[in-house]
Amino acid sequence: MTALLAKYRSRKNAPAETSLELRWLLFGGMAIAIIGLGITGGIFMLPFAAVALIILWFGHRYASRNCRAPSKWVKRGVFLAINFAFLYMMVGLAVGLPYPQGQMAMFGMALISWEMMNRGNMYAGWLFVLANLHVTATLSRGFFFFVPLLIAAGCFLAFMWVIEKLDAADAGYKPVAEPKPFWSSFKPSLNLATNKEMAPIFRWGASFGGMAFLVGIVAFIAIPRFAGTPLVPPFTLRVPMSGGAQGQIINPAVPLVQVEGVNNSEAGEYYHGFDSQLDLSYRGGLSTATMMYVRSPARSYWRSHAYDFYNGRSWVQSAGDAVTIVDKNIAEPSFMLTQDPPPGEQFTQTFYVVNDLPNIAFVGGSPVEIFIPAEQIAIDSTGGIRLGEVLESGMTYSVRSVATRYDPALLRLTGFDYPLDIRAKYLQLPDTVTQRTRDLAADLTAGHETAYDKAMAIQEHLLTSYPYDYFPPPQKPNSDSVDQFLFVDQTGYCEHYVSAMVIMLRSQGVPARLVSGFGSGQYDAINNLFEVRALDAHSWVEVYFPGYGWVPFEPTPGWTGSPDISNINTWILGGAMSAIDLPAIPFGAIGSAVATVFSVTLTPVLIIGLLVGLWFAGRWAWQRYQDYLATRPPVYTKLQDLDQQPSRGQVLTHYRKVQKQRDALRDPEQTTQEHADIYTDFDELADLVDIAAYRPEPPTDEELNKVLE
Amino acid sequence: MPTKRFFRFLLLAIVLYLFANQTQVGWLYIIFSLLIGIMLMSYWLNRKAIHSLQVTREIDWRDEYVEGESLVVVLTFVTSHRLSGYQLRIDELCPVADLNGEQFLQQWFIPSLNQPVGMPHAASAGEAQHTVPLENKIEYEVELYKRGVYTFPAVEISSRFPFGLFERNNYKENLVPDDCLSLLVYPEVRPLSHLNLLDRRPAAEMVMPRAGSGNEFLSLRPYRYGDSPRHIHWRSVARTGRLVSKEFADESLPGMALIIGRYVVEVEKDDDAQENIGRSKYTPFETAVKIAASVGDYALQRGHALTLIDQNDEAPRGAVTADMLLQYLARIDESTAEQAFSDALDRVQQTCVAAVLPFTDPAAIDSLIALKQRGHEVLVIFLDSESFPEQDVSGRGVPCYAQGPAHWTPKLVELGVECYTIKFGDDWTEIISGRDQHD
Repeated sequence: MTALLAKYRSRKNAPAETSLELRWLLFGGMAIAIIGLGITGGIFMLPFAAVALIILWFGHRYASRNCRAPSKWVKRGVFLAINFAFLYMMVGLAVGLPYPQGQMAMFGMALISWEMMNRGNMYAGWLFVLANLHVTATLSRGFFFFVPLLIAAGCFLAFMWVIEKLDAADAGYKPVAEPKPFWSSFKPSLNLATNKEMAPIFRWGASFGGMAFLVGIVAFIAIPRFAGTPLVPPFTLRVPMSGGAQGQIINPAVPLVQVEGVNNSEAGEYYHGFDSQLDLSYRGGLSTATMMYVRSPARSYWRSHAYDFYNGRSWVQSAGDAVTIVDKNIAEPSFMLTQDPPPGEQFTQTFYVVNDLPNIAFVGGSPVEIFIPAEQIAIDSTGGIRLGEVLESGMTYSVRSVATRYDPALLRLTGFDYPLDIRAKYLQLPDTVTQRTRDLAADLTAGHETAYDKAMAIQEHLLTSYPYDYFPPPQKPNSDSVDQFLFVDQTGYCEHYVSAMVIMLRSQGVPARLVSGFGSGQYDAINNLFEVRALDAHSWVEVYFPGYGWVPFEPTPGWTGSPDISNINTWILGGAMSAIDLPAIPFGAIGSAVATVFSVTLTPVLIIGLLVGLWFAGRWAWQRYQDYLATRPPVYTKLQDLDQQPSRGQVLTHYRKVQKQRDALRDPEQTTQEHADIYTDFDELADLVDIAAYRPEPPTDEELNKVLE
Repeated sequence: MPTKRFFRFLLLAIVLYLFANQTQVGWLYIIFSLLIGIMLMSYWLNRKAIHSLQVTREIDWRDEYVEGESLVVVLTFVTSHRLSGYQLRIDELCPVADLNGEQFLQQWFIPSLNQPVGMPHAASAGEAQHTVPLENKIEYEVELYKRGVYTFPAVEISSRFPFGLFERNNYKENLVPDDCLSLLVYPEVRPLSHLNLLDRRPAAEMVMPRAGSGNEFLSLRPYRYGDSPRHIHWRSVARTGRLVSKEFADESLPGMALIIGRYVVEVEKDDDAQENIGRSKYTPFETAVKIAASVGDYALQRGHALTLIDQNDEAPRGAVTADMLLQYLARIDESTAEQAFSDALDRVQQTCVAAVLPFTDPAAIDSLIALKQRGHEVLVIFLDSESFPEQDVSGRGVPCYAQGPAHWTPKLVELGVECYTIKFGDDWTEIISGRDQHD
């Protein structure tokens, strides 16, 4: 502990860093990190970034001028300011300000620049830069992040280059020429024959930069990724939703006046499928506005809920607002959705809400667990997860799911022995369903004995016989939507295809339902994000198979996605390789194996590492303590201990006695040696007194006799 | 060799990877990948940092190097590799400098070798391009601190190019000409204005028969302290009742024998050790060497034949020249004597004997007295070792004697031996050049 304290003190008292080169480079790295975060965070963040830059500038200016004698008041002020920034972040999270953690990161770094007094502080400053870049990376949804990243990396490498020069000077190496700041070498000319100052930098810098970039790309492609349950569960600092879970679906973009057949919403991107009723008479497309980003190692449809009851013109949930309330387990940071998850690989998705969405949690695969800042959630009769409040912009939640996959051969083996509740609910057909619809279904499924083959036959018919159209003719009064789609309009959009398939399957005794949600969206490999836009809102079919549950089908033509969950990518090219028939080279399996090994072994390795680290730390501390004991100054012998070491007392007594005898008393302010300088015959005795008083070993008999005689 | 900084870098990369895995943020994978790229490329560049780097050490070549003079050393660093010669840390051990001085270990940092006029690889056929490689010169001047044989060790070059993540060391040496690898530094010679031993002797004594240490009987005389018992003439003793010694004719050779007292220490000589490196010149023995050099030089200048007597028989046989004297004195080691000083004196045949003693070994002094008794002219110069700040810094230790020069000098003078005691800081040229103390 003493050694640790000494080390801490030595670092605290480290020499002031006066190198302007280092300071400028650190300032550059910090400034670009703030600018990058400001731009990534959007227009709201820019003023904060500007203020942070000003604080940063004055901070470095102050630290540069006062690094030898920093003011305690400034130090206290910085401490208070950082705490204030932290408080601001917490309030921001509570009231829903955009990216308060980003603002905290910016201000934290700007404020800490006032403390950049020595080289150790500057190294710590780069950690702040990294933290800011991390926040920027988390918020980044495009390729702009490359700009601040590369500039900050350049500043950091230049910093390391300069450090190397300074380290050499500190180690006693004299520069062969007068040291000049690096910027004095900068010349705009790229002609290396004339620009001799810049030539060395270009000469190796180009090689280094290019090759490092290439190696980085290879590493990016090759490194395994983790897809299972994170060691640290996803969490958000956001204040939990205040309202309890409710069965009613609240769509923030729902138009005040709903005109049948036209999407005239101005409140936002309104998809009429995210409601408790889906009206098939709606017409029109959706915009390309980004609704959310999903970070997931597997491609999937992001399901919201399903509809079971068809009335000829729209779909509704027959159970209405009846939901099952699930309370949060105090001991767990999440809600368990099932205690008996289906078999299969698990993957975790994180949803970043960009535009306000209904109070429905979108999930991929078969959800097992959801991490969301709420006290309660509700599960509707179709498995949809409903929240107490709408999903506001800036909200984040994560879901752990099973990537359920179905083998057609096994599905064909299932019979028609459906549970009663499934029969009662999902074979419902209204009277509006026309005979020609039933006849078409019968014709399409004729000769197909299994439910799977019937579903595939209907799906195939819909995929190949009806062109897609956002704007089919208006719904005729008193008509059945499915009938109009199949026989009158013969064109439509996803809800029409899905409705037709569900109704035809039901007419053939196969339970089915309409599911709404989002398609997987556009995948961005660099950001590892699926960008889900408004026009990705979608619906598809779920067919019930005894023993397997609900299996998704996609009857909509022109839709590029698939309701099946893709392979879980445990490395960047996992998805690409799965599309190529390379059976001999199981890249995906290797990646999965590495990720599995990593996930399985990491916890015990961490524990073992921690124990080993503790053992080494203890050994190191013990050794330092022993070193300290070996080198510590001698301990004074207390007068009461003199009995244990009589020679010491004997000397001191003799010393006092001789002083009295010779009338040469020592002043209390005098040391024995100062006294002996005056009374020279005390020389030897004074040495012996010092030995008796301060040497760990008491005077020997020989030393004692020499003086006493 | 990875540095501590590399491991910190690696730890940071691992933490980032863990963050990337946990958050699935693609950019964190990219930052991690960039860190990996930087580390790998740093390793590759570091391997090239001193690749094909040549170092030439040049010394201003002279006929002789004498202690106290200055020496100019030029180190030339040349590389023809375009990625070589960056952030060079140069460690130059200069053995001829003072061990405790700044110049003994000199360290320089070369950020990058100077830009060439043209790169070798850029030259194409038919083009008259310059192909001057990258070059840097470091020139320094150093004082030859002490006599001795010195070998310059290889220049140590290391580089932590480009970011201090890896360190590469190499030893490069290419001295021109090759025999510059070793440098023989002569001891300092101070001019003496006078030396009683040689200057007071009448010329006639050089030819007339006189008593000495020969074999031919010359006469009888009363016994004197130090006479060999074998030379006692017992018949005269019986006749006169007093001790009488036989005196023999002096058959010694003209000229002067010079001997420096070397300690006899029971240690093995370390042949691999860098000779003379690390020793102070402020020891009694080093002063003795200087005095011997000056005395010998004086004798040679006066035309006397000079013979060197060495306890190890390392001295050149017969009369020596000035160069031979200085070369011998440049190499002599203080504490490696295999033979006792008194035994070495048995080989003395010259008329005059000058002995420079950094110690007061009674046996050695007895031998010198005996030499005097046999008719040699003896000069003894003691170094008062107590007055010197350092006795011996070789670490091998020197023997101590109870009686110092102050004890022996009066006795020797009484017996007619010319004797001086030199203390540290004395102007010994003045003391030795002083007129005969008997005059």
